[in-house]
Amino acid sequence: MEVNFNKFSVKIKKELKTTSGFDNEKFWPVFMVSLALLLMVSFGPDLIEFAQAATGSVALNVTIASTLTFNMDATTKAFAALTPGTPVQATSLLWITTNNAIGHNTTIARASTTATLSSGAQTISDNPSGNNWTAPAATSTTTGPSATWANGTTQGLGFRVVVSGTDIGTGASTTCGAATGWWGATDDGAAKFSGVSTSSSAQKIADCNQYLSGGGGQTVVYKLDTPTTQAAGTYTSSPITYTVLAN
Amino acid sequence: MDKSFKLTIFIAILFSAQFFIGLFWFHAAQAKIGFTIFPAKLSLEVNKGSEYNGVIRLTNDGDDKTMVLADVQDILPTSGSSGYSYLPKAPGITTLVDWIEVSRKPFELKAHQTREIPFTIKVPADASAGSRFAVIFVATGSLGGGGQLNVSARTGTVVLLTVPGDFRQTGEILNFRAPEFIWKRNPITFKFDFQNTGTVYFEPKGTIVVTNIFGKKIVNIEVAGNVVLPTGMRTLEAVWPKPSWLLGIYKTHLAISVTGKGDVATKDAVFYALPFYPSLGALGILIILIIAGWYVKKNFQFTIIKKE
Repeated sequence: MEVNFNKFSVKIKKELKTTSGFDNEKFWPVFMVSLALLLMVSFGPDLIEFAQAATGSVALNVTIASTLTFNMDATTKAFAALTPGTPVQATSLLWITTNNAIGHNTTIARASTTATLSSGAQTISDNPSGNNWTAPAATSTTTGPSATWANGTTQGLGFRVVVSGTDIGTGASTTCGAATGWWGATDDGAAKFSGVSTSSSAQKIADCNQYLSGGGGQTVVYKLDTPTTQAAGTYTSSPITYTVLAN
Repeated sequence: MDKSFKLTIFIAILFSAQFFIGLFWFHAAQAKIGFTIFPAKLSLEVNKGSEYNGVIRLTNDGDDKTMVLADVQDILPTSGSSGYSYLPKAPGITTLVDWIEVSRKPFELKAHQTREIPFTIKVPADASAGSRFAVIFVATGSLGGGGQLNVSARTGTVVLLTVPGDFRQTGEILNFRAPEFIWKRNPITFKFDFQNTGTVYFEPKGTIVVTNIFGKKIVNIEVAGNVVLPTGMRTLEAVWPKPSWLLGIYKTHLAISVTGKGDVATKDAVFYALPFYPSLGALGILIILIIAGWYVKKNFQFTIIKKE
């Protein structure tokens, strides 16, 4: 049997229902706006990208040699007069700018194989809490020979690198490469100190393994306390050398 | 002039000199010190029996003139890490320290003055093939004695030298990490540790190929090289900066290659992806279509009528 569809038509009739809870006149605008919003939220960036014109491209290659700038705020640091049992502090600000893609590392060593601070034959220990800094092979979470400073108990000359992202005053960048496993998770009660490494082997204190366009800073804090039996006098130091090299 | 007047003049001069020297020391001690060095790192290939002549440009960035002292030390890679240590001379009959010639005579550098420091690397004719590392240091002398803590700055040019010949250039990929699950269209970072098991340093370069479950290549991500010293290990990463929306299971194939030798190390990983926002959008559209169908069915009457 053949059916001639030309003889039939579909009639759509809108049924008028006044009892419906939904306003029939508002349905289609709400529907269209909802659909548009969903499409925008879900595919917005793709639609924009899709709409953008196609472009040609050319690849250029250039090798830029690495350079490094290393500045320090001063060549000497003075502590306030020390009363044994009440530690005193001083800081050194290091500022490094390099275009090396994998950043730079900073090491510390004292010039003398004996103590950093001395007054004639008298010396101040470089082993606060029995620690003298030797860098572990790995950074970040690996711990090294450093410990928190117990005021009144810890004695000697110690140092640490500030770990917080604090603007140290030169430029806009922050402390880079100071491992919390080495110097403590924070710069307050959890701060860890160690002794300045001996001259025979410079030790890494920070490893900033990234390129920072504006440069990166490192703040070193020195902390000093002595036993009450420490001979009075003015103690001066053999130079503490900071070495910064490209990674 | 009587004797007492002469004595007064002498004491006055003495005190003035002391005052100005003191001022100088105070200023010098508080002044900023620093250097800019170029190049900071030097990668060289020098044949046996040949020599390389180079120049280091050093600028005094400090506020005052300073004495500069050059020195050369060997670098020893730290096994299993990206670090290294330096020492006056590494174990061995001859090392790179013995091959580098640079003037060790101290010189003065005025504030913001730049000076070129020439150096020569002479590779002996009987040198064995492989890599050697050293640092040509430049250090500022500490003024010393002016304060309780005296500090000095040192930097240098890292020299990475390879003597061509029969050397081993091999490595191993450890711990290739791809993100396990991706639900946003953010840049995707792949990380891996590369262990240099060869006898020369090299920069492990390569590609990460991402394929979908049907084996179709989605993207080729370039792995930029970073120096890894022999016995050393470095964590490297490659970023897929702008991935498309991903759905399903994806395979990643990392291949590190050396020019002329092909792939020296490969590793595979798998990750899963379900795009959250498009899925949400599709679900929303489905719900809206169902509501629309329900609305149409409820509010419209479809009748088929025969034409007259």
